Amino acid sequence: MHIACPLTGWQPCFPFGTRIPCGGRRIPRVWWRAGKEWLVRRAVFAFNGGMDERQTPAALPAADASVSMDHLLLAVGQAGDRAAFAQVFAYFAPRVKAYLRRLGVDAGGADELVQEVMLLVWRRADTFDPRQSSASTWIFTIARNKRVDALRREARPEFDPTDPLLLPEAETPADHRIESRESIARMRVALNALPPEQAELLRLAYFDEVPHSTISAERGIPLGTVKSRLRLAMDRLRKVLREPV
Amino acid sequence: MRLPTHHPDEALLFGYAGGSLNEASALVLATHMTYCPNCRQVVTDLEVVGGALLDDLDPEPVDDGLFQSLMAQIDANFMPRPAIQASRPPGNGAARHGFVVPEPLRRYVGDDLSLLDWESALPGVRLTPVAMTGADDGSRVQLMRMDAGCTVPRHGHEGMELVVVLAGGFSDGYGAYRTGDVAILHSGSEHAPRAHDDGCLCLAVNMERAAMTAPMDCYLSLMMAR
Repeated sequence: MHIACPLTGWQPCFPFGTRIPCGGRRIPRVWWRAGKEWLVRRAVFAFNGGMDERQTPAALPAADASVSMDHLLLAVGQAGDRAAFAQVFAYFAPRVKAYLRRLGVDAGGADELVQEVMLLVWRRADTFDPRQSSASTWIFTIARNKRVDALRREARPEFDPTDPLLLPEAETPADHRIESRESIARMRVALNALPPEQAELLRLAYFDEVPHSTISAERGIPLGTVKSRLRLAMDRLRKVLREPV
Repeated sequence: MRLPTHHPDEALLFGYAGGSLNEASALVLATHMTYCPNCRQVVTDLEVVGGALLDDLDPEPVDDGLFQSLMAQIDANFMPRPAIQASRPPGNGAARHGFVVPEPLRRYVGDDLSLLDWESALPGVRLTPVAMTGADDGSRVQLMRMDAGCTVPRHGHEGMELVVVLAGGFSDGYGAYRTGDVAILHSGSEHAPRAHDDGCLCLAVNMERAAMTAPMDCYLSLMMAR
């Protein structure tokens, strides 16, 4: 049984059923099937313009998108790659806008601030280090600092990594940390699994301006409960970053 | 050098990483983190939480022309990428007094604390205010210097007080605090801090003014609140 390609006339060297010289065995049916499937996948891949159908944006969960965002942001930083920056913009600008809107910025002002944040992303992209943080975390810190600067008109005190006073990490081998590009996907799963009362308090710390003592007064939750819920959430989330798979 | 043993609570750490903490409290945390690799790690982890929350938000479409106008802006005033801001090396003050002011605080008070306007509040206790850059949110930030063995009379706090020790140390009913440690006094709590034998230099942030408990101390209370 000879199957030839209808377009090129190409035939496999050993069609199904051929006795091949080595050992007198036939090509196992599973090998044959796997080979055919591979050819079909390649054809689909070529038809999609070199993009794997599984990786089209619609089919892709956003968590995986941020993995490739690391590479894109790196390309922006190393080569000033504009096409890569366009993709980073398309993914993050709407999210930074959603972040600012949650903080109470009106739609017009939010667009303006999004532009400022993305300008900083472009300018500082060369300091982005995917071993230290993922693109989402890095852009979150830029957006957060912009929020403090633009919405509250305050400086944000930060420790200085080159401060002569800085006490370095202990010499003992640090506990196992997962790779930064994996961290976001895992963290999103963990956040969605958090009990609602912990998740709600946690979101306040990121999306609201209320200090925890005010939270407890406003919601009638004792201060001790606020703190213990935050502690549980913190322990749980930090563990996610260290657990082996 | 020893690592700090008293750390900011989780609400403060979340607030710092999330950006909801006010400038004065953030200054206390940043100063503590200079001495505390543990809390630096916690904040790094909590920033990952922030990244995941940002990723998880429902995207809100931005204006169609925003990307084009951004690229136009980048093209129009092209500037070389700014070099990472080098920290200012500690200046003469450090050499003269043998004490280096940690960087987050150096931006506010400079590196020679003897040049500041110290006011005597109590015998053996001197204070100097630290101005924040943001609008006044009711918090009061002061550097406090206590002579060796000196005790501040028992007093309560109307709002939360955060103290980070820069040199020396002090003890109160809640614990002994040394360089890098953060003391948190919640609203309504009382204490009578006593400086250790090597004196104490600390940064104190009050969310409300402190109130002395004994009527005798009214005068002192007024002095402290000034």
